[in-house]
Amino acid sequence: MRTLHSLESDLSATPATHASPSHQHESAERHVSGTARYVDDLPLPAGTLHLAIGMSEVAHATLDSLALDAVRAAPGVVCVLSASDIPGHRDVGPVFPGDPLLVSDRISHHGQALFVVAAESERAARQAARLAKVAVTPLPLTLDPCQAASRGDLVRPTHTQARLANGRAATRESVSERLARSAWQLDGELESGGQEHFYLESQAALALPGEDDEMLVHSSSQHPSEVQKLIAEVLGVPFHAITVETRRMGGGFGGKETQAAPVACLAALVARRTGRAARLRLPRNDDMRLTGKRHPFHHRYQFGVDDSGRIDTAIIELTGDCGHSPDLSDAIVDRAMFHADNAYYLGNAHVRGIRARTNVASNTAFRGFGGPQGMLAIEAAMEDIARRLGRDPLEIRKRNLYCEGRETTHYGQHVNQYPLLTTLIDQLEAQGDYWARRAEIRAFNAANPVVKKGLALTPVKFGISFTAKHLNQAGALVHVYTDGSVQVNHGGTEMGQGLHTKITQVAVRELGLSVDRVRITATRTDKVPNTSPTAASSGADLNGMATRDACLRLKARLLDFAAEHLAQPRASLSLDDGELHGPSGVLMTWGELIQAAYLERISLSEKGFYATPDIHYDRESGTGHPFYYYAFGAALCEVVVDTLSGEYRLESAEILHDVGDSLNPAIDIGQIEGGFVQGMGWLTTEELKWNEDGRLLTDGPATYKIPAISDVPDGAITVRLLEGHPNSAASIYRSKAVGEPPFMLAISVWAALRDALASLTDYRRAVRLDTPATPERVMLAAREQRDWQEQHATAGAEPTQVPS
Amino acid sequence: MIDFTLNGHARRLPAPAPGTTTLEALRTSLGHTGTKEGCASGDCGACTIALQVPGQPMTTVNACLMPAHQLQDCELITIEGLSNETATSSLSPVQQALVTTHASQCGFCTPGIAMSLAVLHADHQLRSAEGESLDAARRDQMIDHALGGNLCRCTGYRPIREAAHRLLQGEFGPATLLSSGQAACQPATGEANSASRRERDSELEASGTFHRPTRLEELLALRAAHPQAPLIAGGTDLMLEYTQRLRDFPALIDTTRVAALGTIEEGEHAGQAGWWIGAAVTYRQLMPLLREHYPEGADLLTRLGSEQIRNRGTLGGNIGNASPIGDMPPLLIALEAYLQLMSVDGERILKLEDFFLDYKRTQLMPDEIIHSLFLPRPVHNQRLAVHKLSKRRDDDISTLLGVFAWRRDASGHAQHWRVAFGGMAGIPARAPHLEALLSRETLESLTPAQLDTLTRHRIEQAIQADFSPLSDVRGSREYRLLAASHLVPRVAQRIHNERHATAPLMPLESLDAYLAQS
Repeated sequence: MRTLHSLESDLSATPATHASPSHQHESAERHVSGTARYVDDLPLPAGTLHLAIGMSEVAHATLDSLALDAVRAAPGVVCVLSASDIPGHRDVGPVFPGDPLLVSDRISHHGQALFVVAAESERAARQAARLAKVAVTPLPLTLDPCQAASRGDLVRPTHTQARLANGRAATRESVSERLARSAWQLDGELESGGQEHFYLESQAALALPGEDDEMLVHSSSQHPSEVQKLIAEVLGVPFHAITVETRRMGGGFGGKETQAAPVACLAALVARRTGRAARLRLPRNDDMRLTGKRHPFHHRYQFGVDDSGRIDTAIIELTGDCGHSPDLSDAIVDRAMFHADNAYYLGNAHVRGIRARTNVASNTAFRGFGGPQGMLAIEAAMEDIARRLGRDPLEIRKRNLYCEGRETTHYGQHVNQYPLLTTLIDQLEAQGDYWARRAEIRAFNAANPVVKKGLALTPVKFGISFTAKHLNQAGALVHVYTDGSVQVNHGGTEMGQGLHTKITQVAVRELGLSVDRVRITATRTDKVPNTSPTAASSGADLNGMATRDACLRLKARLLDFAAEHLAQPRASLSLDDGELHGPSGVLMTWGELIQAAYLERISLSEKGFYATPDIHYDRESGTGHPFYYYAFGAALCEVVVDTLSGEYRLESAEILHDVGDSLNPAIDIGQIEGGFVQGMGWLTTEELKWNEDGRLLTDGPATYKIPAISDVPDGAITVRLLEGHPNSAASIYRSKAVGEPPFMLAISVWAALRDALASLTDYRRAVRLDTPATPERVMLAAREQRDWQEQHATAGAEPTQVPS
Repeated sequence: MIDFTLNGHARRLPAPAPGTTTLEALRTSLGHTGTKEGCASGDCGACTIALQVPGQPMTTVNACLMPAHQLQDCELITIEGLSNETATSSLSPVQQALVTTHASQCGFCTPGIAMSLAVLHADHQLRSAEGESLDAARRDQMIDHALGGNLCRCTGYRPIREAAHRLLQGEFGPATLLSSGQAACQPATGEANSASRRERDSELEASGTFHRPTRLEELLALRAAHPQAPLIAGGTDLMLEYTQRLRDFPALIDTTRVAALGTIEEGEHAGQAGWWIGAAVTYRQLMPLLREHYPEGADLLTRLGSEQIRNRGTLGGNIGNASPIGDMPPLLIALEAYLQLMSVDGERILKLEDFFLDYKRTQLMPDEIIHSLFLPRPVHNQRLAVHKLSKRRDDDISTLLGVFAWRRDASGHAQHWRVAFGGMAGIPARAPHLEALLSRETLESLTPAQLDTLTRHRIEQAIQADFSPLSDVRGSREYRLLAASHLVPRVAQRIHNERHATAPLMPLESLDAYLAQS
């Protein structure tokens, strides 16, 4: 450029301030004023086509013929494409094949995409999509994962982690042998239901064709690089022809990690074919029928326990309902296995993970990624043990926490910072007045035959890192412009979790600037390439470090330049408050420094990179160090239950959570509260139901019930961050990941429901309570407890021992 | 043409197809993309807007369920109209509150939440000015009701509730969404977007007719002339045909402008005093009457749908669509309500319980309309117990609904039972066997703790004699039968507790009783 921007306005600007740690979400003002743009809010070019997907009305069949003439002839329809119209790859499976973009021969779930209609309006496209004549030959249907597993119908091979307490490798036989020697043996079974993501913004993409084979695709995706890859493969063009942009998502929760890609691919396919812009936004019901959900699991467990209630042996079998294809199920069932211990030392352990194939939409990533499901069995067992031994569940939980000499997981990783588990539980126990409340609740329950209260304090330990090692990398790109404004781009995506806000804070901190100087722009594959999904809670860990790397390089170059330019000792220079500081005070403003550097032809742009160190896992032996570190938390929960109707309500939840040194307390607390309530929904009212033909019946918010505001009463949830315990691993500013771990704090709600139900038997019997624990399930469980109590009334209650 | 006011500016919209929703009109022709579509079924609240029908207060509405034609003469405020760009901060108090409390994460539900809060803020201010006493507990209840139909998947609601509380306490200044004629600035982005989306107007091009009669005779004539054309009032059920099943309506007949259908008048029928309630009276308009005379019915009403639904849905609609799980019919059947049907040929009056014939089939003839409902006044010593069971407490449809009405005789015993259930059969219906059993028993002795196996069994038998419910997505047959029979000891405990009101610490009969007490 020939002239530089006048810095006068900058010089008179308000003094630069650092981001307050709890700086508001970077888009907060846009959110509240309706100006934050989501994919479907973008202005459309003239001639944009609107798409609808033609979906299967059967769950399992061979597709004999697809007659689309009536669809093509419908008013407003411009083109109709099916599998044979795809020029490149037809399979968009993210890791393993199995996910046809459009079905060509075998239909494997109800609602599967058969063809795509492009029309002049969305309504015309949707109405036309219903006119297809689909001829099929039905095939036998499997909806039960255990049935599928018993037939050996698996999407991926079974994996086992087996280890003896002495550290030696184990077999099922050797662990069973140890189990037989335990003082007490308990076994149980449990079903946990799936969960619809219910991001408020459904899947959406807008494809804008460019010159030749080029295309820009706006996608509501947690993984723009994979969307780019898959579009390129589907269209049969090099990756460099495709650019994918994600400014923000209206919620993701894992549901836009792989499930966004088919929507974007279909839009790109139509755009390529017609040369016109193409937009596809799934109507809610289509979204719920077409896309995968959290995996339902079947849990089978056997525990050997000593007289004090301490587990010495564990045999856990987890069967994940993967749906019709592998998608991410291999890693999800792995993560369930990695979390089968939750926060407890297992001793001799045999953990098996089975990946069953059923004829439903392919289940996929969802906050916690199998971890929540993995923890359920052992948390169920904690109560089972307590009732069997006549002790309080909290006592049993505390006795089993990882502790000195018992600090290695069943996959051989040493649990760093394990003492925090005891710290968290002890603090909550004291601050929540656990034993006094326990006594109050017993008195309340004794006086009320119908309405019962329950209490539970449960811990969470969650491993941080992608278990697929190569995903633990990130890139960032930092530009400084000659007015001193800074643009940061990184590989992570914003889905509401405040990632861009945290990354802004990293840049601001490293460059000594105020927040208003730094802007994060939309995630784009042409700015930072080959990125990993924003998933596994890793967004800030990975991209924060990459951004820091870029900023440090840039800062070093600027200070080198300044030292020479101003003839000052390099070591005495620093950037702070938007100024260059030297031995004698302020030398120049940031803007002046940047302009001077520009005139001296110093590069004002830098990229950064980060790869997580020290992680590995050996699948052959089922051992390794898959996690860079663990995040911890605990929740103390009280519920009140109407045992005649099964209705219940959360009375209070006190949460204490470990985020290391928080990057932004307000955002972290928001993640904890939101995760907790989402987890509560998973375990209570969010029930997915299919009919016998495999059709999803709960395909909209009229029948699928996520928590509403009255499910979270005023003042019910209090969250505190554990202070004074920075991450022992060298993460970004010693913080810890926060996206997923709090989700599992909600297990305390379910445990409290079981506690209330146990009161019906004078706390002598633990009742099986599958999840979601809907009012129906709670009422039927209460009935079972009452019947048991009537039969065993004469046996006499052994009072639970309460430590003084 | 549809003429209305949008964010303070007069607007004219070419008449779209009869079913075209306000949300479609906003996001396409009008270029106002701040209002979001989350479900297009009135269940999530992302599309909440503020609407003022002439002569009525400003209320929240789901734009996805409201035909654009009903905007005629109305004042509409969207999220784009909430900001006040002339003030020092362009954010309105509601918006400032949400930013301050970190109440948005992904932001997609936020515009709808902001609109619900803005209307709540104005409503609260109005009530305060009228001298209503609004303590923290009452404010919290208002917040639950105002936001019950706005789903948020990210925050867990705590910061949203905090924003609401601080807003109502006046921390962010007075409400700005008060009267008509407010001239909010038209945001430039909306206009630009509108231009770029002009071609999408083709989506909204009209075919068909939206009839908007204002006189009863006109309505009856239209009904007779177009027996296939659906009647529409709030559209909270009918519009799902358009948005979910993609049915196009060649014609719709709007009942909301017919004055006679929108009033509540005292009167009498069959020797009883009571009220004639017009079929197009909304749940919101019905609320004060129930609150005063049938408070248990008013409590039920607060759990019917969401505020947005209650602002639009009508009594006539709830009865006319003959859903087995409508919330009003079991209540009204238990209260011995009558229905007045009308056509060009005249009128007839029948008992509400006789109106329902079979699943979604009623006595209504193709040329008839529901004109009004007669609700008798409560008689002396009348008691009412209403129990709605649903998967989620608020904004959910009943799995089952049991309504028990009885009278206390001079000696304090319960007599004259009328019991009606929803969700237990293809239609809302009375439970004659259970009524007979209750009349025989001295229910006062049947507290849940004392309920013996034999009595339990007899109650279950009576329920099974009355109903054979289906298993469906909301609950199994087994749950419905058991939960229905479990309502009896609840009612018994309540009667017992009332008789011993002076005794300390009676056991609570239900979660509702617990919540009412705490």
